[in-house]
Amino acid sequence: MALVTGTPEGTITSQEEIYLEGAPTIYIQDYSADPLNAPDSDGFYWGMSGTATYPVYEVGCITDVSMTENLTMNDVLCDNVGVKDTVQQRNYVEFVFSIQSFFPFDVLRHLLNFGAVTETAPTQKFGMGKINNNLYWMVYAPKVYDEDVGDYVAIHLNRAKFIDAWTINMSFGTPWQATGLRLRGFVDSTKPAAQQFGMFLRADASVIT
Amino acid sequence: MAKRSNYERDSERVEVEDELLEEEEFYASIEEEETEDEPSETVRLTMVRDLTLNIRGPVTGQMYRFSGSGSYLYVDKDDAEIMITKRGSKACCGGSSSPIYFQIDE
Repeated sequence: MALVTGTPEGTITSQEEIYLEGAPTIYIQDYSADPLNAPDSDGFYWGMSGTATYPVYEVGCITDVSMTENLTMNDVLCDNVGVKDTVQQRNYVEFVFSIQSFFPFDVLRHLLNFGAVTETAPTQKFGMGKINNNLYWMVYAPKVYDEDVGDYVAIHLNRAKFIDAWTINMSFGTPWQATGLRLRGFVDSTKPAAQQFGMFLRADASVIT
Repeated sequence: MAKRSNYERDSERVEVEDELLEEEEFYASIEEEETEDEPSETVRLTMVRDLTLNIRGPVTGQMYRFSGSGSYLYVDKDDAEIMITKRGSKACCGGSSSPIYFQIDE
């Protein structure tokens, strides 16, 4: 909204009064698979298409979702005048969340970094052994913000891994929760420099025409 | 060695021919039996879940072992039909159900 006085002159871009609410759905797929758009007509790598060999997993009933990043920052400190600049480098982009769905085990075991599942009716089993450090995931997290017309935003991370120690809370009267799940997106040097961690997408036919 | 008569040679030939005929009939009967014992029609099922699945064919009782996503087996058609119904159907209307295990390869 323009101020009566004090409004800057010249070209001004205001932000829209559209607000995003709630968590996206998080999908993961083996990094060995190609993104659905690899690349699209604009040169962006994003999306997923599940195959028998590389199925797409939907992470079930997520809560406390946040997305963050880690930077290395160093001030350019001049002893005679002070800080003249700050140099930054992005280290990683990360989703942090909790889950409340524990089944099926062949999805859960990936989130908790456990071993392969064997199923022989009526049991499913997996081992708790060493962590496979060579397993990377693509991450695709779309969020529809207008259900009527299907407008959505989506975040795509090229190469991520579940890291850090999780905790499973088993409280009386509340569903089990695996908390502290970190899906860290690393640099993917096979992608263009501007998309080495991933990309952010908005699809809105009424605004973006 | 005494020279054999034409009659002896002819009767010997007839015996050999009879033996060959019997042999042919024997093998033909085996082939017939094998054809009867051949497994019924199979379909190729590909596993879409990332797990090792040991499953007994509900009709034939045969054990099938799928080794992770993308692995496939030729499964008896009758077994496959029930396996797909039990483990291959999507839930209606976005509701949750047991996840899909197989896809049929055409």
